[in-house]
Amino acid sequence: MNGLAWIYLVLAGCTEIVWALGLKYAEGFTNPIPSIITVIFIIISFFLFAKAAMHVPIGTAYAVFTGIGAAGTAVAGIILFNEEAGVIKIGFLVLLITGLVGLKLTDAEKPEEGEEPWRGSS
Amino acid sequence: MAWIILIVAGLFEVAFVVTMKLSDGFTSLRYSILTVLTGGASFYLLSLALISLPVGTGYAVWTGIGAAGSVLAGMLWFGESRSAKKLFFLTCIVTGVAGLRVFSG
Repeated sequence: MNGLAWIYLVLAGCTEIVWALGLKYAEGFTNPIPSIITVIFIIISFFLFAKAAMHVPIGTAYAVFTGIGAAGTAVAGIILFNEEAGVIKIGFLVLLITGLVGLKLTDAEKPEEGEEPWRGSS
Repeated sequence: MAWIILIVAGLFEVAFVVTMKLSDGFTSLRYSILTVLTGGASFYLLSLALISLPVGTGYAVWTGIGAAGSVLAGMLWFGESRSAKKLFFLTCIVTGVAGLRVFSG
């Protein structure tokens, strides 16, 4: 169940890349076709995110969602639009991806019930 | 003033993420409506703040507040894990996202 939620979460992040790029082409929603594509992908993206958030802890879910979007958009910018790939940018990308992978591994080692291994520290 | 608007936009983003969680995959009408309202308010305020702030910085701060805030909200209200490892990796993600937003803006 948790595995499926993570698949939803990764797909939500990937569709976020599409709408984030779409926003550039939509030019403040004055360009109709990119605007329509952007809106459709925003809806799909948040729907998938909401499904994932039912089972993945919300703090983790949102960080992963934004993380995939930011990393993907940066990589797409470098590959598709020839944006410069400076050392600083690559450094933040590596940090971000380390966080994503590490978090997924920490999540996987939790006990089976998933959500709440321990409730707070009190 | 733009900074205050930006911070309020970030707080609405946290409300948006939390109400989306409470909407149970958009099956609860009440929380779904709240999700749309808080999300709309957050994006609208962000766009207002970005009129006078640099886009990279503005977007980084907004995402940072949203991501860090939803981690805190998860720990405070939903009893989510506070393990040191998890917090470390979350910090990596938030720093990475904010850094990329600053340097791509």
